[in-house]
Amino acid sequence: MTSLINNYINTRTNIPQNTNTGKMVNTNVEELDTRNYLKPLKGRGRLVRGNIFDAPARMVRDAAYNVKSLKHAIKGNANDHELGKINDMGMFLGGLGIASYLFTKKQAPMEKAMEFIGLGSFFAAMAIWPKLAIQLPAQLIHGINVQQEYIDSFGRKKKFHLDPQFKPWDLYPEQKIYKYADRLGVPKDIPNRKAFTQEKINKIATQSNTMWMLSAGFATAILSGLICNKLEKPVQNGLNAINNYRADQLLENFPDSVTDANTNYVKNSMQKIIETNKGHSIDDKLFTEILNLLANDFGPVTKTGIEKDLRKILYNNKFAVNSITVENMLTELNKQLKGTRYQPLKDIIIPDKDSFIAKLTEKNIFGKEHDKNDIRKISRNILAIFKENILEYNKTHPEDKIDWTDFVNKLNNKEINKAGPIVKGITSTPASKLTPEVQTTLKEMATVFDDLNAVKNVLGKYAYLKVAAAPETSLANYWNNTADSLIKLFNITPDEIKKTRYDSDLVYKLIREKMTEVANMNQEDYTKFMSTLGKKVAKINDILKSSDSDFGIKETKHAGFMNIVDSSIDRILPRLETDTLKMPNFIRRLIGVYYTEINPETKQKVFKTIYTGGSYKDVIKRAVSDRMLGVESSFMRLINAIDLMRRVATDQNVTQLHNGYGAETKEELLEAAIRSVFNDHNADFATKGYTKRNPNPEQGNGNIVRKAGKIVYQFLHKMPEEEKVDIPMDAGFFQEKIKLIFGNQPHEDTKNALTGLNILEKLEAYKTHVIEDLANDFYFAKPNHSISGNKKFLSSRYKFNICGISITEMFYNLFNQKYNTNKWFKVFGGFAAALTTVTVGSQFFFGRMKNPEKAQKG
Amino acid sequence: MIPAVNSLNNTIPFSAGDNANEKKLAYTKDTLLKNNLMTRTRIGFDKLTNAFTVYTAKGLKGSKNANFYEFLTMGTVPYIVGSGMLMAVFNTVNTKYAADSVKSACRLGRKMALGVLFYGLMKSISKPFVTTPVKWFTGVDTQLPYAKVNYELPEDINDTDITSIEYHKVFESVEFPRWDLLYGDETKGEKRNFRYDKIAKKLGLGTNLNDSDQEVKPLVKEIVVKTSTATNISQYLWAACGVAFAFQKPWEKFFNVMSFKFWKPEAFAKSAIQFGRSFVESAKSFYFGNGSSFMNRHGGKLLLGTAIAASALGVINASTSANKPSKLDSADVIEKDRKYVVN
Repeated sequence: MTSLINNYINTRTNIPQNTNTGKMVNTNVEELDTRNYLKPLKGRGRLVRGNIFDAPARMVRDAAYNVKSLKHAIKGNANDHELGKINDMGMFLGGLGIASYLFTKKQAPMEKAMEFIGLGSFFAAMAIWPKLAIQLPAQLIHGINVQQEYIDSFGRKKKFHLDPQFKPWDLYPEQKIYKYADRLGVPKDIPNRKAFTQEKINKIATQSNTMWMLSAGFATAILSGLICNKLEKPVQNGLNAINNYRADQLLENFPDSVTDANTNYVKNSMQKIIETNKGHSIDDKLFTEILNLLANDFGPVTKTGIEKDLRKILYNNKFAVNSITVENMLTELNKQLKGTRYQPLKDIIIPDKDSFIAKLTEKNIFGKEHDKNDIRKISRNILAIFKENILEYNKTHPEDKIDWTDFVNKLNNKEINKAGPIVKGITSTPASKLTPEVQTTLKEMATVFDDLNAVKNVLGKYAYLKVAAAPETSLANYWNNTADSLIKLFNITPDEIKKTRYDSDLVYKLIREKMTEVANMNQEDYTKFMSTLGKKVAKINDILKSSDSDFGIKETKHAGFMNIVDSSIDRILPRLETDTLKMPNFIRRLIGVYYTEINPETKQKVFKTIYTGGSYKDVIKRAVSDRMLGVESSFMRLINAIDLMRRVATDQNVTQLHNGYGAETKEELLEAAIRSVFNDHNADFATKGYTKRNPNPEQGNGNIVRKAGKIVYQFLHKMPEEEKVDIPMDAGFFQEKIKLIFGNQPHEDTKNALTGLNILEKLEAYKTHVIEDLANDFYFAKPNHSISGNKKFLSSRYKFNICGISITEMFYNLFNQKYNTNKWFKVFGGFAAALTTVTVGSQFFFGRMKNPEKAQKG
Repeated sequence: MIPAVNSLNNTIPFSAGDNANEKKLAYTKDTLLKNNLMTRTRIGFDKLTNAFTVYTAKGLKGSKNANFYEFLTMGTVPYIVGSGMLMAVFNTVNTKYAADSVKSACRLGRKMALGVLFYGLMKSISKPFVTTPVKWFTGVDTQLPYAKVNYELPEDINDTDITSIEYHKVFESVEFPRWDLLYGDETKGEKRNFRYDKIAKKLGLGTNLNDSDQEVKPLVKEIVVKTSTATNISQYLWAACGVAFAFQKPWEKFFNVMSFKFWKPEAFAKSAIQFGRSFVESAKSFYFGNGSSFMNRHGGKLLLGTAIAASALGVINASTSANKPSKLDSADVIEKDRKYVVN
């Protein structure tokens, strides 16, 4: 710096000095306008005194300043302050780039939304931390705003304490500084009190700024994580509400939704195909093009149905034999004979194109259209040409004769029922053409397919939004919320979660204990518990119409999803079976094996199904109802388990425990029932009927013993576990077990608690499904242990869904999920708390200075 | 810059006379340094160690000598700590989870950590993407460093060490560039304006100019502003590319065999080789994308394209428009209509 000043002084010597030494008499404006009289104006800087209410206005002003800065920066005339703003903008832009890129990588809207929330939380954390942990404590402890901002005379907003060597103290009124002095406890009677106070404030600010730099790295990362962690749930709920509403709107305004979803894609594309191929013969390429267009939105099975119908519609079973046919045939023949001993002789046996055409013309084949039934005749004629050539050859080459039968065998396709080269050649040029009639049919078809695709899109979208396996679908959210509430409902502590989460056996013991407590509650508490749970579970009725559930009452009043699937597809079917357009195979793929009737009243064609398995309708309906069945079964299983424990605890509606079994078998039965409800797993149900029992149980006719409502087994644990065996032939035991769990009326208290929630009915339906279907399956728990003797053959999918998730597994998963979230929160929440304590605590020691000696009073 | 006098009894002279204890300084006056890898590394190391030690200690004590340079240098602390913390947030707790959650948590955590690493890496290596071409085209080295000798106030009466060295850049401030350092030392036989002459020639202002310094100064200023704008924006876009690159699936293969135990050569070599493979595969995956939607296939190209475009446009903007010679009229130096104030 000194060298700069020296330079300046040296250069000043040549500048003419003001020689006007006399008193100024005639001061005029022009004279004032010289640099000799130029004086600095009063500064226009001011401190920023904002509050939360003018924050939006400040944000707008700052944004405008940023835009201005960018403009200047690009032009190249920005100042340092403006360039600093560009850096902040770049950082935000980069962040936006990251979030946008990761956004495209994520599938679910929830994950997508979290990318931007993550970005926002990072910037928020950067802004919040210095305010919360630095500025606020300093204000409270020392009464000073260490993050004070000011706007300088050029409108640049800066932090007052950022540069310790340059602080525009004159922006503070003197009184204000003395106020600070009083607050800081600066003695009143010291020399240079103002300067001393400023120095003390400087010290506090420097220390605060350093603390800010030291802590910000830790704080920003953790705070941003904590913000995301806390925002996840509300965001999920918000997205869920939006999705649920969107899905409901789709069904409520179904006709409009379908109209909106209709893109006319097939119609437009078909138009293009027709334009290009008008009047052309329909060869394989064109056929495939049309087929692919129509079958675009369907699976391969449906595609075969469409293909069959399309073939019938487009082809009139006639083939033209022209020069292309001959060319194709020659190519096929060459391919077929390649690698055989006839390859070198093929030019002798098979005539070249021109002579081939000549021969075919001679035989009245060439240039004509032939019926499909004539193909065999034509083939024979063609073979005759080859035979002539072979005979000719054999005459000249007696030593190397060609075996005619062998040659014909070689021409056959090795695959059974597949055409050989000659037939392939003939059929390669069908005589069918894209005539105006065919064009009309195709256009009609295209319109129907567009309508059908639109219906399919809307139905598919609805099914996705409601039940797909994505985190933000209504059903997933319902599951999470309901399952989450169980922790609170069963009063499970974080410590219990921590101790049991590793082992499903420990989880089972804990939950069983908790449920026993619930079962032994007094009537009031139990009813309250059950009704709270019931209300949570009943929320599913807000997501899907009860009539769509397998446990729901089938009603037609409310147009549920299943009804709409039926009606929307059925409405289109008659258009696929008109006088001009007939697509029976396709209809079969859509609705199943069917027949038609004429409704005597409306005279309309009605499509009735005999078997719907595998049809499109079946697939879309089951996609929704299966997901729903799995979820509902799981919660019904839980409610039923609690009810069972209640019935057992109060000895009500447990007929099976009062039958002729001996006392020990009764205990075994009860234990098996409880274990089964808790643990029997939906994935391997077939192996879970294994129950270790005493082969020679005590025969005493005692009953189950209860002490203070809790079961106390008298016999069960007498025999060592390793001596017990499974008794597979005891079908009665299985039957009694199932009846004990599912065959009794619910407890009165359960009934009272669930009445009016639409849950009691579902519980009954669930139990009926189990008793009537599952328990009669030919191989559910043990082969042929059917409960009524009416053997049923259920699909494993149904068995899987009706079993629902086992209670132990449900809680095991829940515990782990809770533990993971809590663990993270505990570690980093604790770290954040410690960091805040250190950051804030250290500020009590800031600004310590030795007071100067007091001024001597003279 | 006149600091408050806090001790009336302080009669110790400004500079202590005890020459034996006086610190041997690397520089005795502000000195222009060469902009090469060695100097940059030395400066980076000096700043980094000071940021974590000397400056932090001075700041925490509330030293009156703490200044804005030190505060800015301390800005590396949250950067490094924050990066480490961000890695920790996603990784430390993972192993505490149940076995089946560990894997997916680790996979994400490691990608995050790699993302943080590549963010920093790309941000720092991308600056020369702009500054180097600008230097080629205009002759202006916007990153030219110099050592500044700073005289401090003594902290107490025994404080004899009152100097400190700071490393700045000549064009750090566009309002107050250190033009003086660019003049040649005539005592060493250098031409006074030789650096300005070079720039003038590069900028097409001609050679043998009487006052090349005056000619080029406004142009250099403009170039510096434009270059700084381009680096400020493009470095974050490059950093974003780094993160996106780190988030590619092929890295998972590397994480499976990742090992930093260089004393176990076999595992380390395997890890290194897989790093190379994953690097190449990830680069492909980033560029070509995968998936069906347009953004899935072209998102990477778009991000990379934006970064390249930002750097390229920055270079073009800095090197072209500044090419027109402009001679400032003395009237422009002080505008009569404008009000000049302090603060």
